[in-house]
Amino acid sequence: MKRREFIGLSAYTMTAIGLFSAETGCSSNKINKLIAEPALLSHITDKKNILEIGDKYLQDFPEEKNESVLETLLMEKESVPDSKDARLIHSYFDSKSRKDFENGNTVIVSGWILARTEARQCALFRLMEK
Amino acid sequence: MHVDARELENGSVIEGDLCIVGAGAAGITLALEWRNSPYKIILLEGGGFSYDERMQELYAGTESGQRYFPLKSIRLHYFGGTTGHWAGFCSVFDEIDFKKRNWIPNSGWPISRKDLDPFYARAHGYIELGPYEYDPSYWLGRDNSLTTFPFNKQVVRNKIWQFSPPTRFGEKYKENIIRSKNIHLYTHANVTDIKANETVTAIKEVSVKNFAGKEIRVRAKKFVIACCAVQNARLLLASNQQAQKGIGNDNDLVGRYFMEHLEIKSAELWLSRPDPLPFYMWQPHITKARAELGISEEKQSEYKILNGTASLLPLDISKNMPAWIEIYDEKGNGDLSKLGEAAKKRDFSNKDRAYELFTRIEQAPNPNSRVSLDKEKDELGMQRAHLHWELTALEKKSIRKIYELIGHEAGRTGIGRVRLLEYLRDERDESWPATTCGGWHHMGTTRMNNDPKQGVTNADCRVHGIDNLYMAGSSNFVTAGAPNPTLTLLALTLRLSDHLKERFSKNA
Repeated sequence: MKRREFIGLSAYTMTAIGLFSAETGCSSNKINKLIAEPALLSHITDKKNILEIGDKYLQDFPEEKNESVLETLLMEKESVPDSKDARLIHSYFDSKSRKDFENGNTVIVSGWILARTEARQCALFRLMEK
Repeated sequence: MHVDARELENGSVIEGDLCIVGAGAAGITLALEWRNSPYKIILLEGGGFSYDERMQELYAGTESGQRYFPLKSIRLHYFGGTTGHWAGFCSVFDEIDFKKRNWIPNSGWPISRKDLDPFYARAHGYIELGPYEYDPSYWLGRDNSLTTFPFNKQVVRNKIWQFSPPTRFGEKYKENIIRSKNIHLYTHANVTDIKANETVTAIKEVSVKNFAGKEIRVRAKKFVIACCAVQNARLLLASNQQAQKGIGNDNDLVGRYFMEHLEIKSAELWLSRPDPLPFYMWQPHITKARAELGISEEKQSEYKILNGTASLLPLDISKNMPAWIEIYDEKGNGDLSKLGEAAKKRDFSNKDRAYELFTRIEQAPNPNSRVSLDKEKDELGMQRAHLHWELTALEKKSIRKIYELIGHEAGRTGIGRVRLLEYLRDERDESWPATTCGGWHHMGTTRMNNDPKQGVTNADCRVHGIDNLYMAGSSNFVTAGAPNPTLTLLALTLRLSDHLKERFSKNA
């Protein structure tokens, strides 16, 4: 009998659990909301925690407390799929986050050991969610 | 045979070949190894066959330094010893535990893991464990439904624990001991003094007392003290009529380097996909083996950290559970109803998704962490023990690094995320929460080293400078390893037994 494989949520199966509420307006309509959704985190913790992570990250890294700055950092030089397909976007950022862990590009925010990418996503979400 | 020492005539003298002081796991195992041999084995147990409050009070003492359990509560003072309430957790020390690690002062045993392997295997029988197998692949091979985290084993590995039923030595081996013709068990026989020859190079006899007011002397060719790490040190220190600092204590090492396992809630693991994780779970009386997460030897060396493991417990169970140290009052009485209260508050909303990560980690050998003598004497006139438990910054640094490494692997593999508990979040904070406690594992107070300036006992567990005095049990440990000490102390005891047999047969 083949051993059952232990796998986490892959980018191909996960989408963020809808973080942005319909009632809440976003401060910037130009930024694709999808890049501000930390998909894996949204599965394991709630919006309140994600906002708290965003708050804490911005306290620790005040130089990044700007939507455009964060957008630029998240996009980097690579092209994020210009798409409204959540799976595509989340797949991209999931892959980016895993590379962060591989390269030690991590931060500890409110105790969470996070990829820099997803911490920035939480920060951007915080700024956009008003 | 068995004799209640309260019924002996006052002033009796008992003679034998090998005298074993203490009938806990080590003492009983040692005695059984000599069953049906041509030698007369005297086994002295201070208590009776069951718990007695007045007897237990003899173990009361005082504590200072890092908050610790009341000394009265940490060991059981009757035949069978603390196996009367141990939980049965067993694993082997790693190879690295025996090595000199240049980032851990005073590390390095005079023996290697290889030296203990044959004895580990033999020890399994005494505590009713399964096969001598600690490779995770063996246990995974027995059950295809088990899965492991897909972590890089060069970073985070699975370390296997096996579970004794748990064996209660007092119940399991009582008849074997009593029916053995050459083992002479004396209960209510508290050793309060060790008397040496004039030059203090050999032990002549030990003095025994009990609540019936009887004083007895026991003479033997060789003596083994097997009373647990705290009481082993206490007895040597209190035997100070001929050696002012205590028997075997010329270099002020007896009692020092007291080590515990730091056992503390440390982090949470949140899985991206729920999983009951059967390979990592423990059900009392059901689970035969399970895995805990450990850090590879390479990474321990790279980051210069201590050896420790993380066990997993569903957060719905652990969230409201008090730390063990909160359960005991100053008198050593435990209030287990607090556990029941916690069970009523279980929240199943994150079932199979959220787990507590609980650390068990060795403590760095620290000469200031020590057992000494208190001024107060117990009812039999022996000075009580004082424990000063002291930790170093390396313990906290190591715990933090362990969870960073686990967190990185969890993130890299997409398994989930690790969240550190509050006390670990600030790298600069060296304080410990009030719930910090040990695992009731007492080690190191008569540590081994072939150099008498660095150890109380040599590689054969013989006290330096004294030809016929040996220490049994975890007081010999140089470092504490990640696992509970019972299996290793039994292995060491069996090794000691073989050594003694060799010595006896040479002398014959």
